[in-house]
Amino acid sequence: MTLFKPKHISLSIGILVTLLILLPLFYLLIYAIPDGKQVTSDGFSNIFSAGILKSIFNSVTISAFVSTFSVIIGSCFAFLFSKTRLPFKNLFKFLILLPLLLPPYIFAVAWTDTWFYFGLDRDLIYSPFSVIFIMISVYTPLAAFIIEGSLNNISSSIEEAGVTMTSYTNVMLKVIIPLIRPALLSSFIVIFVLTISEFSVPFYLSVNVFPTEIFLQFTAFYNYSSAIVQALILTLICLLLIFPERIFLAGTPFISIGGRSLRFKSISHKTDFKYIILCLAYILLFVLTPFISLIIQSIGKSGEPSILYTIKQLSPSLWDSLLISFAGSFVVTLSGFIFAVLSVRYRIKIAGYFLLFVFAVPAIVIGIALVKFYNTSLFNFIYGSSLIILIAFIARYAFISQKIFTNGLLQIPESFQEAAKLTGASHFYTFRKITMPLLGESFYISFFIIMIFCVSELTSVIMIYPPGISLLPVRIFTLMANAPQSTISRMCLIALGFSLGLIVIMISGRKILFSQKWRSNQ
Amino acid sequence: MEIKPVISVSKVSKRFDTKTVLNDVSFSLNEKNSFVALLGRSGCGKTTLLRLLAGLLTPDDGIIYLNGEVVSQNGRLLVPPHKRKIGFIFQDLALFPHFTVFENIAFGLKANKMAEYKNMTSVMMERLNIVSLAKNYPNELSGGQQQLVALARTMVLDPGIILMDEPLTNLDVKVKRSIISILLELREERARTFIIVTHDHADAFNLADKIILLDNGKIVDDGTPREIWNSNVEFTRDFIELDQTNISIGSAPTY
Repeated sequence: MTLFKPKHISLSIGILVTLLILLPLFYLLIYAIPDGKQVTSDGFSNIFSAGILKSIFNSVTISAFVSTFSVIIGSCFAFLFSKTRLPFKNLFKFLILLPLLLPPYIFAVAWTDTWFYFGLDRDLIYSPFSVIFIMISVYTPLAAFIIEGSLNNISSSIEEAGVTMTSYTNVMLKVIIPLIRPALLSSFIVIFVLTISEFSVPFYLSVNVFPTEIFLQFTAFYNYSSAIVQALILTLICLLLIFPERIFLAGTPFISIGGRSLRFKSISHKTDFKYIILCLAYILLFVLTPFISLIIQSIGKSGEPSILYTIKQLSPSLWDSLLISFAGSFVVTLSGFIFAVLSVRYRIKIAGYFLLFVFAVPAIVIGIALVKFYNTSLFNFIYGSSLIILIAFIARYAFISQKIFTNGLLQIPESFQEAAKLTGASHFYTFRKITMPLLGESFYISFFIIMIFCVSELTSVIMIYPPGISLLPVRIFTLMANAPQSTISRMCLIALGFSLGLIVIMISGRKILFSQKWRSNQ
Repeated sequence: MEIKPVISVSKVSKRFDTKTVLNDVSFSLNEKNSFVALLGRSGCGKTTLLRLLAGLLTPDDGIIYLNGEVVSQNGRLLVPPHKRKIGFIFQDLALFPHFTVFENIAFGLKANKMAEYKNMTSVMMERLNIVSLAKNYPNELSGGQQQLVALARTMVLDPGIILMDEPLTNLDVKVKRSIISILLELREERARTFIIVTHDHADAFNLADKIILLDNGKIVDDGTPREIWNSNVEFTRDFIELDQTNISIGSAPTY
């Protein structure tokens, strides 16, 4: 009998990862119970103070606006990508997607530069409106891609049946939109949760929202009691939104009409010139303008340090960021794979829900939980080293990796494994010869996507980075307050180049590595 | 000397959650060189029975014997699938998309570290006349060619029993006829037991020398094609009459 069965190995790793993340969060919950010493009842009563209520109101209002506009604009792009023969579709998609893959604080810096350049009122720049504008530019691509996926799943027969009876506008209103309603709601909720947890953009623009309030209470005023109670409330808001979304919407069979010969090639409308103009205008405004602005600002005035000096200044951070993101991406991808195997192959549902739960916990809360739990003599080997950053990365991104692997695993029919089993192939032989090659692309995509996110991660990392390690986003963020504008813009451009470099490697590498003959459909 | 049945299924039941898919099923096959068709409507439990025989599922109740040995009993898998000397052709064929035809056929031989795998694979490819496809990937083959590769991958391991889940569906008449003739030739050559799952009466009558008719998880009738044709069981009469136009009455007694 084999001593280490794959199921046992997967379960052991899964349990270890769960404990590393769940114990700190559980500890935070226990910590919040008032006992008069650590968390006093003031922590709870402070919630009703005018300042905190205002920050909650700001957070909810900003999130509601960002979600609504992102879904509206994202739907338009989803329609363009899915239902029209738009030329250069892939290029447009790539450019529109960029803001989602790049650190949001870079956009905050870039837009502030732009608005100052055009002489916008300072009060307007440092206001919730700016946060809304920037966050819309960041999250619109997310809505566009969720909704496009849903539109692509609608059988063209359904549309064709509709247009034989009524106008396409009517078909759109009466058939298509009701069918994609779950995707619209899903993207709204996901964007709401991501925006309400966002810290860097409101912090940079001095807008008082819930996460910035928590951050200040924890790091500036050392009021742990208040910070932890607020962190738990923020977590509760996110969980209350995410779980119903997952349970009731994610599994909604919005393409409920099954049948023979479903064709998913949608009706393609003629490309109107105005669609191209619309795409170009959006890309120019939301993607290129901030980049151009950063470039202009980075030129600087005479007497300011040169760009070479900035690169030299940042090189330790670049190196540390590269190494830690690489290691982070490795452990996150491994965790995502293990949890996907547990939920798909071994049908352990809790494995799927656990990472979703952790994903819904705002980054600031993850940061606080890790600090409070691991900052002890027992766990100093974790707290005082990069291990704590790796745990934060798993908590933040293992869910995304798990989703990538879940999709990959679901595309491998169970009969493949059964066929291998019947021939007498061992578990590891089957894994090496069948599962790994078929999941190769998922490993590749997960690794790069997670690495891109790890390079940009600021909120959780800023609270936990150990001494001696200098990460790029933290370095830029801490210098923002007192370095010359040109230096900050240059640093942002370097960070941007770093992330863009990874994106380019990912895309070109994918084309080279995964273009085998067997992947093409006949 | 007592002859042990090739397959013996005794009072086997299988449930998925609360749904009983097979209920108290028993049958026995004594001859090695036989071709059995499991016939019935969709959802009647044919594929489940096939998967139980292969060891991909375990019966909740009952015993399964292969060549006289208990292989599964009351929820316990006593002999794992790869030790049963069974070949299985899946309904979706389960051809590994990233392997060429040659690699697909050689997979089981290589997994079992058989040094002669190249030679054995080539012999099987020659036998099924698919040598020219050796370097092709499954997505480059027609439905019939894919079927032959799946058959070759199974036969190359020389199993004693070959289980086939709906192997003839989605094939055009010409290809179907050629696959049937290959199956019959292989049966003659190798004297193996073939069990085929089908919902098509014509396939069952054309191929099998024993038909087992299932309905709602129970065996309702069994016998030679002629016995089934002449059966007085009400379900059998209804079932065959539904699609009599597809069956050549002359073919029934042929096998």
